[in-house]
Amino acid sequence: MSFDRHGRIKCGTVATPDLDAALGDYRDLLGLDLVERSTVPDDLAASWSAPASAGRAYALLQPRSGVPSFVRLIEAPLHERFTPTRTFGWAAFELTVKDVYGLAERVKGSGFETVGPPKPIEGLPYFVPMQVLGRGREMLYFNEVAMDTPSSDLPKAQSEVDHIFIVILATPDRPETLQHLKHRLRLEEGGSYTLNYTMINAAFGLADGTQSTITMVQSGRMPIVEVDGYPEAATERPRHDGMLPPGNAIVTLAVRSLDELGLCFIAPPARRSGPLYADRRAATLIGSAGELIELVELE
Amino acid sequence: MIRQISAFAAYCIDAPGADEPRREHLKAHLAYVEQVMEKLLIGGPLKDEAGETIGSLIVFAVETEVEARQHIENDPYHRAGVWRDVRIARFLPVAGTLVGGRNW
Repeated sequence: MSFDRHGRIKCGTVATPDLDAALGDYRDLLGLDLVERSTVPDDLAASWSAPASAGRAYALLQPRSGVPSFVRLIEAPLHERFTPTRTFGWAAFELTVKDVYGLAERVKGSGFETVGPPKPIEGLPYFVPMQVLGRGREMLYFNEVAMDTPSSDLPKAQSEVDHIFIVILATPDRPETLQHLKHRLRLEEGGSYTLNYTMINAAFGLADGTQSTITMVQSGRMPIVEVDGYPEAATERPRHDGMLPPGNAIVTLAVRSLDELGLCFIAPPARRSGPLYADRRAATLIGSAGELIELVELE
Repeated sequence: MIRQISAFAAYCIDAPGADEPRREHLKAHLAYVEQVMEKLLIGGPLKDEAGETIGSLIVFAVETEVEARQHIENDPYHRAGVWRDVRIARFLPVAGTLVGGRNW
């Protein structure tokens, strides 16, 4: 089966304050290949409703496994009021890795700050995760996959650090966000889990044991978005005027047809070049939690 | 008394050849407008000097841009491809007869 199919995560975009330093982390330490480096074109920035991002330097990186899924770093200043895991929008990108314990050793002393060391999760034997924050305050989960879950296939890494296979979306209204993703993007609702989510409890100062509910959104057995219902204390993500949201800024998904979805995009679909777009049409919409969802057409 | 209104304005530009789908879907469009009337501050077609329709201007009384975009997505004109481009921005109705004066 082709890697590119409806709902596939094609790219996670990160806003980062120092592109060269971030490249040291993502290329030199994580081992992703730099496949494109340029500046953001005006019309692309406008299509994200982020005109002030035009002309900013960016780098596109691809896993050494060669799968056509990317991480895009775009230079942007930090926002002093942005605190990870406290705001709505894209909260984290989950990458599949070969050896999470070895990686945990390698990231020590790097630009990545470990916020959650590798730890098996009780009742979830499918992967061992760890969590780090990058220089742009973006959250990454490195997951060493052990097995598929009963309802979804989890990709085992084919390179030390492979592609993003789940993106985490923080929302004030989980049911409404699920409706958006199902009806607007033609994705499917997977399993819901109520658990002691230590990342959320720590971020909001909640007692250990406080339960949160998360729901997977997928396409067939391919997981795509983990929708997390955030506590009432969460806020909209602050952002500089005309710029991308800080941290985990954009998620790019493949879709069968842009026209078929009938969405009201920020700007009309446009054909774009480069390794990510591959001369296909792309357009961006605003999701129910204020997140930017860029879609690349497969047809 | 000035009313404080949360609003978003949609400036919809017609696609080439929009006349035919507009005629075809007029009835469904008007039915949809009636359905969401409570969420409309004002709306109507944009005309050129010859009186030909070139798009639409719609101001929604909604809290978020996402809601405004969803109203556009549900409009039969959008589904039929009448509009080539839809630009949406928050609108602050701060003066005029619609809001009953000025708020400064």
